[in-house]
Amino acid sequence: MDILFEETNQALTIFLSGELDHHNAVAAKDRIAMKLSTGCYREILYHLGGLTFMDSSGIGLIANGCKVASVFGGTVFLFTENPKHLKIFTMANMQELTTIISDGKELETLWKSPTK
Amino acid sequence: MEITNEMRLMFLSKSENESFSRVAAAAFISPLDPTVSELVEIKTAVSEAVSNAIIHGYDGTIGVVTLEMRILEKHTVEITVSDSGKGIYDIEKAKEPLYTTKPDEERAGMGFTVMETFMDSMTVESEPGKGTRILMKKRLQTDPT
Repeated sequence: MDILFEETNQALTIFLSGELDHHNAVAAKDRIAMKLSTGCYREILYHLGGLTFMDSSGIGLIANGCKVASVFGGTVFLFTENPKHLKIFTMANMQELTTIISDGKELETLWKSPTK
Repeated sequence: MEITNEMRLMFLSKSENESFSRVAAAAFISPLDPTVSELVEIKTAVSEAVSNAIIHGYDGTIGVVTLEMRILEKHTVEITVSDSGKGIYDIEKAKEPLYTTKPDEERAGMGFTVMETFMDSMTVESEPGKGTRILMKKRLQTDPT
């Protein structure tokens, strides 16, 4: 799995691509947590558009990011249009931790950070 | 129900084998011409079951995980994932959504829920100290006739 960070002022987009399973999630979790723990970001978007596979490891990965972000007062957004990935997130009530964006147009509307 | 094809795959409880196992599962059922949705659901369920064996069954130790698959008549796929690890003390508790014995490792506790949702049926057999066996079935929509 590949991780790409894109920063604009105090907003951070985390692009995840490839396959996200338990094996990949362990290293990804630490790398993302290290980035978020700088405390610089008011808004964080997990962009999962490039994921070709995800199991429930994705829940733990995003939930951990939400936990780290909350320490610094950051708000977390999550973007995926994949119906199976959305199903996994909603089964775990992830909409209570993060704003889930499920289509590209909605992403353009919601992901207009006042900080950008 | 008549078995039209079957396979058995044994591999070490290393996390890099999660990907290997789900790709093998997808390749095995490909002659049935599953839909993309069915393929994703089966790959996800296998990944969850294998991860469960590696993380909870063997818990950092190395053992053997066995993936068995059978193609039954009426386009039904039967999948068994078994380990000889620690076993589960309370199966019903383990199957509850969001229940995890490893919250410190950010485990979501959603593995069994995902397996139950993506497959038609799932049963768990386990004996503490002896291991766990997860049996799942799914009937594919595609009609062989």
